[in-house]
Amino acid sequence: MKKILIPTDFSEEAGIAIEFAVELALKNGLAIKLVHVYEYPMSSAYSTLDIGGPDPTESEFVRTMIDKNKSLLEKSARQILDRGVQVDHELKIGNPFINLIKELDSDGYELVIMGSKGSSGFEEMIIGSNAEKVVRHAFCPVITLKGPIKINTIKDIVFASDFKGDHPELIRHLKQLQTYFGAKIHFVRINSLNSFEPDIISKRRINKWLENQMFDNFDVRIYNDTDEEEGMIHYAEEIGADMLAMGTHGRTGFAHLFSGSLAEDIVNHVKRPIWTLKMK
Amino acid sequence: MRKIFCPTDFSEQANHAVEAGYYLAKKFNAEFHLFHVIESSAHTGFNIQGAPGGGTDMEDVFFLKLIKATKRRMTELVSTPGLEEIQVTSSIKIGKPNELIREEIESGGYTMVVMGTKGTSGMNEILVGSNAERVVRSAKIPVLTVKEFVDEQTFKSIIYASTFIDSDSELIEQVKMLQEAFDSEVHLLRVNTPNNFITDWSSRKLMKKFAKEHGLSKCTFNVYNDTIEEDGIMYFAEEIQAGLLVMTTHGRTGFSHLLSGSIAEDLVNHSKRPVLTYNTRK
Repeated sequence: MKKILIPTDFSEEAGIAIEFAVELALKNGLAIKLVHVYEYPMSSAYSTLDIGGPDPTESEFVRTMIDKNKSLLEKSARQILDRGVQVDHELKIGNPFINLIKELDSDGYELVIMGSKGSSGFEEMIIGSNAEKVVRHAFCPVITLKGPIKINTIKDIVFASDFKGDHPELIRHLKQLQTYFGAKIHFVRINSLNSFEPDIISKRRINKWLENQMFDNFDVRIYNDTDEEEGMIHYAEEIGADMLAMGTHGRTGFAHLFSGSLAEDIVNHVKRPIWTLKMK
Repeated sequence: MRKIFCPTDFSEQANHAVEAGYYLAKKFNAEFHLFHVIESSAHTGFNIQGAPGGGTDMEDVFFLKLIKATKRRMTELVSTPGLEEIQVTSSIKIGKPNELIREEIESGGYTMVVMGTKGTSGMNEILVGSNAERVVRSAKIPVLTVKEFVDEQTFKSIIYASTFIDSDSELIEQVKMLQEAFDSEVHLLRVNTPNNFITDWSSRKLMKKFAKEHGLSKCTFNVYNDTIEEDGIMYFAEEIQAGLLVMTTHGRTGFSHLLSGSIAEDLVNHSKRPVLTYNTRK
């Protein structure tokens, strides 16, 4: 059975990711793996002279925290199971990012679903900036949620690309995504001053790119904007799309899409989920 | 649209202009005036003695023959089947085509010029490319230039190309009249070039505002990218198989492209669409 990975820190955002994943799993016959990474609080008390570990009171505190999180994790898993979705759970200790990437490498996941924009403090370890980090390194698709959303409302997905090169994995996953939601794909090339291209050239390339992919239920558009992120947001806004999708190159950037700060000025801005896949 | 002016050199392109004029005159119940100039500097000028004329006897004989032949051709043209359905008038003048055409447009009380571009070579070269462009650039009324076969369908799909920054009230009024008469689709088009790049978000806003200001209720908003504005218009026209292109000229150089052909013409098969233009520089 294909599996969805959900990293959780028991926050509201993680709850949103779980709800979304449960709906998706029920609709498409998927299983869920819930992972919590307990970030071991490295003591600042280490000195060059001290070769010992954390002091006893600290270990005691850590043990209590781990036990507490374990029961929270079990509770979450039970709730998922009660909804009729096959679920597995695991608590890991260490660096959240490294542990999540390791988990992804160790098992064949179809999808990661995670919330973003955590509140301050501890929770930010997993969500927030970590979301973007995972997105940049995971070799399977990641859906980042910015707010609660029902899966049956996702009917139009904007997929932005430069339509250069051959990416069979991307195509396979994109088709899978389309099947998950039964949505229409709106292919778009964002044309900016830095990447300016006459439409006649873009259209020829896009048509060639799409020629052998046998997509159903899609359209194609070239959209002008100052950069790719703004273009995606504005275009999604214009056509009332419900999700943004793109392949990433593991480089930095796209921070805007996740923070949503750019889109603040857009009227009726909806916090759309973002689907990303790192391209090899 | 009450009076349509159609300068002709009896060429194939000029005849296509007559087709276009016929549909317009019929729809708008307008008078259609056919105009021909027999080119001669000698017979309008004066000789050294100050007397009119100046040609030799042989030339005079030839010239009289030419006038007679031209009159016959004009009569033939006026009696083209179908033209009896509209009110057609005609006149023939002798002199310099460019000057006489301009004078006639200025003094004749016309509301539109319909003319062919790319005339035949030789003596009848009145309407060849550059000449048409000169008329287009100097006329103070809308000018429709025609290159190929035109029928009623031509007027049913109209591209209005503009930057949507200047308000071209008079030309958009023409578009609205055509839309009403022919029940046309109107496609507003802004061509984005690297030198004149704005976001689609802004383009849409400009076009929406423009449509609202001019009371255009039924139209589509389009942006097309190209390195050259004229090429963008032509590629877009080809893509949607539009019938008529409408744009302002601002009296500057430049639309030689659209009126006399370009690189794009080699690439696009049917770029030879009629162009309705209007000089906004008064």
